[in-house]
Amino acid sequence: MAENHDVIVVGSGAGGGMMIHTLTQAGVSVLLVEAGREYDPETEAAMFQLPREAPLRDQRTPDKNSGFFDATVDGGFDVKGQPYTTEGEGFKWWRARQLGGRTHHFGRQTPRYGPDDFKSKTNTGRGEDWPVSYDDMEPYYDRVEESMGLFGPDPDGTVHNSPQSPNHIRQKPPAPRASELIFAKACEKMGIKTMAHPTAILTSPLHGRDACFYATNCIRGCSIGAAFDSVTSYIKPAIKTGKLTILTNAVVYKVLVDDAGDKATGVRYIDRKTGKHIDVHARVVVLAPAAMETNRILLNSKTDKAPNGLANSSGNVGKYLSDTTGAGLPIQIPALENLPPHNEDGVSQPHLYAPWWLHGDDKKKGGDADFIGGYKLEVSPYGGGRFGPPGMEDTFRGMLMGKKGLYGKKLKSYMRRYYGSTMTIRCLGSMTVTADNRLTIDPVVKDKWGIPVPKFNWKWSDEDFKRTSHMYDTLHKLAENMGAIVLEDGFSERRKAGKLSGPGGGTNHEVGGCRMGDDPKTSVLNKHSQTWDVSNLYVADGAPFVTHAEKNPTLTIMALSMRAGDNIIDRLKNNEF
Amino acid sequence: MSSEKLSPNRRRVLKLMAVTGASAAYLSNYPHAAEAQPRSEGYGQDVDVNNPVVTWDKTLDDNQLKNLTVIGDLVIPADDRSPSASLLNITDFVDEWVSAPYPDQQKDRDTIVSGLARLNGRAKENDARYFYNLAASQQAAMFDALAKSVETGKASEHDDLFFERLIYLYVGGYYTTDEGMEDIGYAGNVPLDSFDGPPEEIRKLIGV
Repeated sequence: MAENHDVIVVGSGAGGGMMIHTLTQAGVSVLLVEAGREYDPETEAAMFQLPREAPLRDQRTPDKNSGFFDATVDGGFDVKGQPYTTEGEGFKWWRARQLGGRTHHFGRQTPRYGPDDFKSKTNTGRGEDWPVSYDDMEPYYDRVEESMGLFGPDPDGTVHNSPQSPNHIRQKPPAPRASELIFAKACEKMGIKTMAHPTAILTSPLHGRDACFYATNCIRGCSIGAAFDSVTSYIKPAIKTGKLTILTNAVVYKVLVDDAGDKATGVRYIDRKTGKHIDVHARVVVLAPAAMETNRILLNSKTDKAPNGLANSSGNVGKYLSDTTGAGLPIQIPALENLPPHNEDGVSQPHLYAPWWLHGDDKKKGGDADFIGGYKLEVSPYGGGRFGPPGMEDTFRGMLMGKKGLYGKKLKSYMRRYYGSTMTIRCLGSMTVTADNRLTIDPVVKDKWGIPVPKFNWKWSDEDFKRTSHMYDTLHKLAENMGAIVLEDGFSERRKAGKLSGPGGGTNHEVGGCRMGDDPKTSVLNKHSQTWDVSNLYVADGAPFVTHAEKNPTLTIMALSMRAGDNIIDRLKNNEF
Repeated sequence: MSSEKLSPNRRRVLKLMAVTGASAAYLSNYPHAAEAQPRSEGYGQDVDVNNPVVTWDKTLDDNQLKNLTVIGDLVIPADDRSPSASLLNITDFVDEWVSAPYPDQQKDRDTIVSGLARLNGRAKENDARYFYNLAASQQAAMFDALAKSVETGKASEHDDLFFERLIYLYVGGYYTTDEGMEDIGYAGNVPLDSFDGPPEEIRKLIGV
């Protein structure tokens, strides 16, 4: 490519999109290299289509893991021709190959990390401290939220270590649903505080985007821009600046370096349409193709000087991966039987949640909360209720659980009486980060273009087991306080068997492998997400994560990306590259 | 909500709703490849979500479909509030499902096809070639016996699974139609200006 660009950004999801927005708004010229195809939710997202309009009633399939109408293009846990291998307890790697990456198939839950979350080692003696504090991150959280838009709770009413967006940024949350009012009342009895969940969905217009109309599942993408995505909020404005060039269908697999091996000169990609291998160059390279892909690219970018992979003098590239832990309990709430029809679609995400409530002495008082980290509690928007048009798996699997032999007129009356009363209550928790969880390059298996693929080693720690076990105990207590019946409880048996969690990556929150730090011997990136070894190479997806709190990672990915972008802008101004 | 309040984008979406509503008819009239090899491809990983197409042919034979039509109406009969499964062509959906080239659906195909064959076997004991040849009262009695054996845990593992999957597919197919959704009282999928939580009437009923 003849054009000269200041910066190459690989990937256009939450991290890449934020980086592109930050750089182009400051007048920096950017070449985006995106592995997927062009995608615009304004014209492509399925809005209002009912399950009956899709093959198999929109059921999840190996082709479309979240159903036919899901926004994901050429993605999911299994992508044809793009395998990966696993050892240990298994790993599932969600991908998307489209402009905007995984921000279209996205629950939009955007909590901030709290002050304690950046200080694991100081506070608990375990894990590592991040090289940034909450005070460093707070202005970036503010700025990201301003550009992204979100609704959230009154920040004055929150709990320790769950800081919320300030009143001048956050928008008014939607009211809780009937089931969530029952959830809130039960939590109150248990001494647990509930509030609106910070969520990147507009309830008032912002930046030319419309407010939510409280219908249609956000994972289909949002054609009116109410639910945040990278294309609508970052890529389109960046195109308007005239500073962005976009290459799609370009699968990057190697970072190019100069003869000395100290400077990145560009990246090499495969054109998905022609199969050609093409080099592009710029003064700075930013990797944001999603955390696991970043690790793979670095490990596949070997040089004489870096025989174990680029930016890997610490030997830590690919190590300290993490996901979130989780638990779910399907329940039936008799109070919700036989209710007159009422619309509970809402924003298709939880309207309420309980942020982690046991800290310090409270944790000891909690008695058995004998683990580091915590979890949040909420009513799942996917497990039934009246949340969105009834679906095969989401609504009816739960309703039919244990109803053996039911058919005919009795079945019909049963459906009328119980519809809307079955749902899943769930937790999402932190994970204890260890070197056991890592990505290496599989010595044998290659993808359809001949590029060596990742091999994931995964092991949940004893502490993850204790935390998850605590989740199930809490969910059972919560069910009792909600006056609910537990529909399926394989928990006790699985606890006895010592296995409570599925494969890693299952919650799509996989991060790490290029952790940030203050010490080049133990970390891959400095506090600006710049690699210690190659000064003009940055990482702007989830790979920089050091530890994993009980909070969805996207907002922190974006805040770190914006912070790295500011650093690149300053250094470009000072001619430091 | 009043239409004057709608922004241009919202108007576009409402227009979209009208169009996609009309496309619902596609399921019943997609082309059959009569003589050619049946199509058995999945829809792939990059689909046009606004123009859904079933990419495989239906594969159940006439006798299987006739059996299922009878069974579907035993599972979901008509009553004063909603029609029977056959009136809504749910057997057509079950055919689409068990003909799909995906592992779960192929497993269901084995379950359903072998279950139907067992019912035919029992029908033969009553001098009928197929289950659907039996008198309506015999069909009802035989299906009820199957249901009772499932309910009391006396059914074979095969029959247990057959019954469970039948119910799941007919319930899933039926209650995702407009008539089915209306029957159970689904009231969403409409644009609102604001979401204010459950009406007072509901709050009183659930005590919050």
